[in-house]
Amino acid sequence: MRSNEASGAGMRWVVAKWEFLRYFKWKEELIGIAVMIAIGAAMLIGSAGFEWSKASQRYSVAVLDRVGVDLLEKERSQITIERIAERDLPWKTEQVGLGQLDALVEILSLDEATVLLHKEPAFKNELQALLDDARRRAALKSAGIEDTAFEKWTQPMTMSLSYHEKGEAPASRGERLIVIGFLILLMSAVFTCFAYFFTSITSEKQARVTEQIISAIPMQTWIDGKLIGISLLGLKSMLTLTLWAGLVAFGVATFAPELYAKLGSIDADKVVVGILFILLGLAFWNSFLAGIAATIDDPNNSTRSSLMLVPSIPSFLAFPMLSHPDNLAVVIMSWLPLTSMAVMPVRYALTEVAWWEVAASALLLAWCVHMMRLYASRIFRAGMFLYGKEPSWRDMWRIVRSGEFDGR
Amino acid sequence: MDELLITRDLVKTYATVRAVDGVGFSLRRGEIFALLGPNGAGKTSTVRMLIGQTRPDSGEIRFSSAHGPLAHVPPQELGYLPEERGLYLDQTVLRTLCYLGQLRGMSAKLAQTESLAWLKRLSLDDRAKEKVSALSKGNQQKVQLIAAVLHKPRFAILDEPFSGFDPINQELALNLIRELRDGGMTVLLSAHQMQLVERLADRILLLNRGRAVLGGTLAELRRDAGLSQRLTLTFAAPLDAERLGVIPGVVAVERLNERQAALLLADGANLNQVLAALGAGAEISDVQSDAVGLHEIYLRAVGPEALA
Repeated sequence: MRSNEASGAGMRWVVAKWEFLRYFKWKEELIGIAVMIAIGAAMLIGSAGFEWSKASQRYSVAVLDRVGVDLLEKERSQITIERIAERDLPWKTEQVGLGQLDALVEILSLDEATVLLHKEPAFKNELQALLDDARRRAALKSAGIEDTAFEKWTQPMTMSLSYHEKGEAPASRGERLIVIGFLILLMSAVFTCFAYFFTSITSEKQARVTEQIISAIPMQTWIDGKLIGISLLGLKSMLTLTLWAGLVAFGVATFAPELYAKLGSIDADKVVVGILFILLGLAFWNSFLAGIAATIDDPNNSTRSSLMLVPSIPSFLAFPMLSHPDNLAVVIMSWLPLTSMAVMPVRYALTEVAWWEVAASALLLAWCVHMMRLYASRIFRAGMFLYGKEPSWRDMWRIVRSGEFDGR
Repeated sequence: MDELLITRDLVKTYATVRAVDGVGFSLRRGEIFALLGPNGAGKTSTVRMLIGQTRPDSGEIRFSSAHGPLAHVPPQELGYLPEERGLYLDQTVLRTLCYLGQLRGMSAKLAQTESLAWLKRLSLDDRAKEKVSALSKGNQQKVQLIAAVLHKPRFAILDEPFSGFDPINQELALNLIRELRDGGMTVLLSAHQMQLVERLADRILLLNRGRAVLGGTLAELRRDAGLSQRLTLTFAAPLDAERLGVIPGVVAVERLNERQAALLLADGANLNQVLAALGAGAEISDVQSDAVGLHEIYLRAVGPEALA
């Protein structure tokens, strides 16, 4: 076919910029962020207000102790205990009925207490804890055991873990969180790209722009530009989510530094491997999406639409692997180009993986990106000229093998 | 005038169909060349070979590009308004034009400047920031036309450029294409509005079933088709069409109503003798003479099978 001066990298970027800006609107993006911040702030304020209101709430509980247990109010307890005598029982019962008293507790034995209520108690757990504590202390006292001694016995045994210098230290909590976050981001990118490829290509087919575009630029330049532009939209969605996560991390570091410290350090190489596989994986699956989308004639009724969900499978598969990163199936999937995008970064973050394994898996994926781009562009080339019909699976196989299709 | 594009013996076969069968023609710089024919005549297949979308099975295409001879028209020198066309309905008019201009090698700034100038020229400057979907079909067609010539190509292929236009905008498009031609652009035109093509085209090539059947100026087409004039006759009494058909020099008779008929005269027919023969058989109350139009030539050239 023709040699085209317009086929250079510059023209790819013209297409990529067009595709990116076709769906990325600064104004809407900023409004979206502002709305999210407003919702987040409203939730935070609402939650803080609720916590404050809850903390300041007091509950009056009258206790008739027939056994003589020592029911103690705890520090910062929301329950105020009033000990009563037998003669107070009738009018305290009446107070519960009028809602002037929150609960009337009658301790019948060390094993049983009755609670009379006006409505479902928000303080049920705290009351249960107070009764349990009183019962335990009473039982210990009758057995002649000191409280402090019992507390000491019930403490868990200290188990200190250490790793051999030749071994692999486990991933920090932060790294585990990063892995989960990575998989969520990956799914976000895959679904974003799925949506935009589907919309972009099927709308172009319906608008009949193909002939004009490919009279100006080669088909490969067009599909490459689309891949870059829409992959950038996928990365943009990942970046947006990462910024939100960063904001949360900043909030945790500021307001709960002790919790933040527990996350531990994150190795830079794990982040780099994650980014490398994201880029390669998106290129691989987006090529696939472009090819499939080009064969869809009617987006509302095509059975091909479901194929567009295939790229999300690796991310779904990777979640259960978080707890078994050394399983043989996981190792195999970290090599397979269909799944390595999600599985290899997970393995690398959670267990010991040789550098050559990462490099070979990445190279294999890169080669498959090249092949997928080639085959997808063949299908794209044929599909974009088909109006009113979809190529059969046999047609598609023929197109992939030979690159030729005269079905138009 | 020297030739910008020469094609020789082009052949293109799809599966079992020979879409183009030995077609050859040439286009001179700064002329409007009409490529006409019924559906399936081979126009689109020929165009796709010219712009490099497909390769001819055999034959030769030679385009005198600014960078030397090429076997197809390069994108930067090509303006293309294809038969299957459309615009990005969800984008603004200006953005769409800028994008299509950039795809033809224009810088973003130049594409914007030229787009605004063209939109102003076609009274669409106040719609530049609107989405394409907000435009009427006619205005969308104007945007399509602008997109095809925005980058000042040396060679433009305009397939049905009048489609979707009302008569006023058809005149506007006609004048616009003439201006482009006068500015040095070579235009390959395909349209079904024969009267407009007749007024616009410097030369015409008629294709049928993949073959060239007639070619040249309108006068040359008339001569080659063996036609010269069209007489529209009104008789004082009901006419006898069979009698009219056997008069020497009459090629075809079309009965318009009981007293009216249109006659096509052969090239070289003697008008006096024809009129004398017509008047001898019946009283003629009115006669109107016109040169045979492209419409008649086209219908006769593509044959009755194309009419079926």
